[in-house]
Amino acid sequence: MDLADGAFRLSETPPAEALVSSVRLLGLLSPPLLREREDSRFQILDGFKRVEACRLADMESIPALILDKDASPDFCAMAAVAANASSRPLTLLETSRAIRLLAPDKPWEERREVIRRVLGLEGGEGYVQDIESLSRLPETVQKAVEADAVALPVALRLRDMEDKDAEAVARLFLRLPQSLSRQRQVVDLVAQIGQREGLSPAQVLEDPDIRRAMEEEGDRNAAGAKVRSILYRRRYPVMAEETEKRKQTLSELCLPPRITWHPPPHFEGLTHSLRMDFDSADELSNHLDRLRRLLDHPALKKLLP
Amino acid sequence: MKPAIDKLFILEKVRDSALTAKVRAALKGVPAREISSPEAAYQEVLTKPDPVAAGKKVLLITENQGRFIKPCPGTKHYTCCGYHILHVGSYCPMDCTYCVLQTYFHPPLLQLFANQDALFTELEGLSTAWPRVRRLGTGEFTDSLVWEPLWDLTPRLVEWFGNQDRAVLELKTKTVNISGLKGLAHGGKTILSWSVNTPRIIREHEKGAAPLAARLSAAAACAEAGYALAFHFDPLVPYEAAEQEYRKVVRQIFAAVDPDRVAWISLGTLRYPPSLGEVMERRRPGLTLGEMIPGLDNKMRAFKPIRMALSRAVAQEIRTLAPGVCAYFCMEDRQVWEKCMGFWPGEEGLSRLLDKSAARVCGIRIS
Repeated sequence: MDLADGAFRLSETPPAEALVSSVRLLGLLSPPLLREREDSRFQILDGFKRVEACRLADMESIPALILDKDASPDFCAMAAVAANASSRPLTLLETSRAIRLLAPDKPWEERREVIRRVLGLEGGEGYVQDIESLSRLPETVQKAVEADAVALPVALRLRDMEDKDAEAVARLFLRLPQSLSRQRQVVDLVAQIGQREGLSPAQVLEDPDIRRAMEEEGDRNAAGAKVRSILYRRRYPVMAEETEKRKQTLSELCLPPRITWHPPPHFEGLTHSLRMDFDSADELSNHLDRLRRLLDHPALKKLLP
Repeated sequence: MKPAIDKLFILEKVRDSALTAKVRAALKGVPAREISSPEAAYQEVLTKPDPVAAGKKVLLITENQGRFIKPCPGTKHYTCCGYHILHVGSYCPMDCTYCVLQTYFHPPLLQLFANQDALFTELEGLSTAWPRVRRLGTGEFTDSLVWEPLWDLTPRLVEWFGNQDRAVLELKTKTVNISGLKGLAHGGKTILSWSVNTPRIIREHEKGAAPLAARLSAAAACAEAGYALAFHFDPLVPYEAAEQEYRKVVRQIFAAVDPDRVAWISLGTLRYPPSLGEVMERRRPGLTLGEMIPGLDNKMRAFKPIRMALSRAVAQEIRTLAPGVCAYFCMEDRQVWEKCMGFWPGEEGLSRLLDKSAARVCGIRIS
């Protein structure tokens, strides 16, 4: 058997320790699906993990299902995908690899039918092509997608980058996982900074402060927030500075608990608003006293020039 | 310079119009097709990979089925000048990165309206039906002078306005197509206005438009011919050397023309609806990379402290060189007015301010 032949491999993960133990204890319960190649060696269509588990368990011979030698490559691909898809839900990357195997040379209409029947995947050509493209992404990005560190919409954006740039972004998300909206924010910021400064995304992420934040041990959410803040300040320096100043001015007002000040978003417009929470007439009265005193506060002139 | 038209469509119902004859003669050799509905022209543009670019080369001669005179679409969140648009045609064959017409018209397609008599009928009704209309211009939905090689509407309009004293016509352009304006009986009621920008922005983002020096020479020639002038710094684009470069443009303007001939100068920093931002990024990236925020009208605008700094610099330069010229903001709020101009004219006040300026420079009656 040619263990190096991964033409039909959908999953890159090694067999779990539990599978190896089970094989050692019970033997191989479900035989793999093989095909005899022209050179008389066997090629695995389904059961890569089981074969590897048997090897690790030092088994010298195993039972197997073997397809006819004259089975067409398309048939073998369909058999490999169907065997995998019927035994467990496929991950996004496994689905991508499966799509690549299915009738790659057939016209779209014919191919869509094969994909629908074998893989159970419905969708337009664009959607299927998007999923298919995932398995062509650089290895680090695939690893990040597999680890859920890079969400599908973000992976599709990384597809448009040079490999080394996409990998740099994926490494950041592998190290500092973020929600989809934050991944998007980071990718936007990195791309825009790069465009403005004439740098590649990878060069943007070489910023020493970002590297330090990535290397820090401890709270990864805080480190992720720090990276976003570094990128934001670089992309929007004036806005970041003004926002910081306004925050400082608001803190000078020393508003009591349960009164909050809401300046106009993005400094646009002139309308500020205050929110007061109170449980009693006394508390309301105290709030109003404090607010009246605020009218003479020098910080108010900075906020309402 | 003649617009580079690749294909001409003529709506059957206007095939015998004077405009059609003129355009056909001017565009001899350009493939022309008569069509019963505009759909074929729309499809010609919409089926192209880049409809925005394709639409700059396809011209449809058609009818304006709506009003020719329309209020300029300002929004309530910012102070509007109460301008009125003379809708004589749509879209523009020049290629400015930031041009709002690229996403304003669906599809983006060059159109000229052949039923010009209806336009003049509407104008005749101006004094009764539109008592508040004092300032009208053809340069909002297309460039006012880019069509000069193809039609003779502008001289007709100039002379119509020259025969009354209640409103002014503003011809706003980035071209230097002024030869047809010489010798017209304009009566001082037409304002020739140029959109101006720094040479860097013109070079990078105003493809097909005349260079700044040529625009200013054309302005000087128009002033010589007795026309009033106006200038529009729109968009002011913030970039590293922007303040110095825009100040220099102001100096160049007043080196070329007498401030007494200038009816107004508008300032408007870069702003665009998000849909236009996508088009800009796709077609000519760069302008959207400033510090832009969503404004109250949902258009993206430069962050207020940035646009105030740039606007203040330009306003100061204008005030220094031409203290009597009416400088105003297009779509800005009270704070920007007060910080940059030193006053805010109020919601209705800007319109009155500009009407007064039109009265002073062009001699219209506004009482």
